[in-house]
Amino acid sequence: MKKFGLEAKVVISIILLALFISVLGVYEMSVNKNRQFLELEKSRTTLLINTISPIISLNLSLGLLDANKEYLDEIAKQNPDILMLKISDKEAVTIYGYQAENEKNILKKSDENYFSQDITDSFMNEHVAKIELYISDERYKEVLKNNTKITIEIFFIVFIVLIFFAFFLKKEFLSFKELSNQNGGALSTITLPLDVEKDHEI
Amino acid sequence: MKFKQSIIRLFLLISIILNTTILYALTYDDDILSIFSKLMPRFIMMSSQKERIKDNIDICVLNDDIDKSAALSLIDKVNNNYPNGIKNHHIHLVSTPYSEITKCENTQLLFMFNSNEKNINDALLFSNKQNILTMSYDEALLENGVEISLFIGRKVLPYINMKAITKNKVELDNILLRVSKIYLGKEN
Repeated sequence: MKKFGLEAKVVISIILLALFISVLGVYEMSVNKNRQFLELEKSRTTLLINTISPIISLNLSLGLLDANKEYLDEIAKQNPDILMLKISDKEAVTIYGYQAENEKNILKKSDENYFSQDITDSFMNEHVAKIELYISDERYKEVLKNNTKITIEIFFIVFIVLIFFAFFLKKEFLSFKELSNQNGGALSTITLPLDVEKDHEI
Repeated sequence: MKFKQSIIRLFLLISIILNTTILYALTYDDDILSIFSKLMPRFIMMSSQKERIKDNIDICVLNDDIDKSAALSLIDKVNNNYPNGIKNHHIHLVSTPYSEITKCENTQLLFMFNSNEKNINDALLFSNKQNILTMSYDEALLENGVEISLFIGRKVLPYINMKAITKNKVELDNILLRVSKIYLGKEN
């Protein structure tokens, strides 16, 4: 097996180290970005639930079921990422249900995109309903796709830059090699001239 | 001839009385009264009227004699919907004829069944003087200056006369405004 020369070892080490650092950095950034996006989506959905809950609660308490239905239809229409919206009363009977037309998959309650919250009547201090919401993960998938694309692009750019860097190093090593050859291939025998003038003997 | 005229007059009188009774009896829909019964205490609690509450929430139901049973039915519904009151306040309702409106002095809300123009206007003058919130079964009374009624269309919504509310210096909770329809006048 052919052994790698010093030149190859140095170049490969630099390339691998640079690749490792850049990929690790981009990966970390991507993971953080995804996590932040998930947090943002969660906050957005929680805010939506907290905004509509008092209105649903009041409508239900007043027995305005038609007004509630119209309000929730409007909410579903304004938020196309809602795949499922269900309101059930205190006896767990569904009083409002919405499911996006193109969504035929079985929605899993364990999913990260599933949200539920009890709606309480603050005046009577009693549980009046439960809201269940299933949000589409299309936007999250889009972010993941973009992040992967960016990671690959950065990886590719770093790789090309490193190839140029390798050529540059190779060129630098040539002069180093020439110097080594002039000294019979032994770098350790090179005598460096000293500028210091000595007027004493040891 | 005279006898015949008397018979006709008597017949007309009886039919007017019967018609009025039937009209009122049919006008007051049980489901609508149920919604009003849920609405009344909440409008007090979700408005500046809650600051006027001492111990009990006091509501005065104004009616003509002919609407007495509808008024009592409304009171029953409120008591059934809020058997323990609301937010530690018991709800105290009284059915009062328009002629005895002064009995409603320390109430937070006046609920008005239909009556003649004079009674309605007198009640509104009284409520404005006493800063009492007014609610009527008939949305047409919003034009007279009643503050709250029900809009009955494709859906049922609280109907708020903002002009009258502002005039009476009553403030309403934002959520209440969001679930309600705003009355903009007869032309609109």
